[in-house]
Amino acid sequence: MKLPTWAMKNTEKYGRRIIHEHQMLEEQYPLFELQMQNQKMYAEGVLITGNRNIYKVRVCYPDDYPNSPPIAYILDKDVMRDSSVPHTYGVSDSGDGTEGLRICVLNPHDSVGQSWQPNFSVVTIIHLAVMWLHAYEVWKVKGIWSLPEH
Amino acid sequence: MNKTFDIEELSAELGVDGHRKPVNTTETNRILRDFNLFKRGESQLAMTPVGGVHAVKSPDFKALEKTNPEVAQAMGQVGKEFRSF
Repeated sequence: MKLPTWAMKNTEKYGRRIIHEHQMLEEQYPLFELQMQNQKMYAEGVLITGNRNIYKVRVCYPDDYPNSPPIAYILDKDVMRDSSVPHTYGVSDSGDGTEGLRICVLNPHDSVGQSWQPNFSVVTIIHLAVMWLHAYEVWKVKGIWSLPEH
Repeated sequence: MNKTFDIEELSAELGVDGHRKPVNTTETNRILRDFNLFKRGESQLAMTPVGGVHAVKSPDFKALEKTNPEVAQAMGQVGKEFRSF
């Protein structure tokens, strides 16, 4: 069984972790699935905001996971095209040549153990992506960012 | 929702990728209210399985701490950061 690069450090321990995260994902975000390409693992699916807008989201596991948090991208072109969207790192390759808008959901100045803890999971980042998308829709109407400024 | 869920049909119904529903003022105000309740520590935020977010009272959150402690811990951490700004 092929595992992502980060899980090769301890296949037993991290293999179990992948199973656990997959279960959490199925329970809490059933429109997401774990996928893997070239030993890069990511969760991809859709989120539907309270305004009934649908967004495609990809959350990529970094090679040093779980010491570093997964990275969230919005894959919709209309969101990517708007360069004025706040709290992003801009458009970049999300791992397999697919472009996405990398969103800022954690304070980049935090060290491990602050806003991100290694016992969190990909589901934590999807929670934050949900909040980011709702803040984005508020920003489109009111021009204010209603989440923490990083 | 199960695996037979038809995302293509839903996308066509709701509009996606540039064909957004207009952002509703009532919903915008509801989000701001819920975020502010959370920021003031008067509620926690709960996510729905499709990606909605709404405020929940603290007693409900205490129940979550018992049934799903990992999620509760993660949300508590998010709350700490949220309230620190």
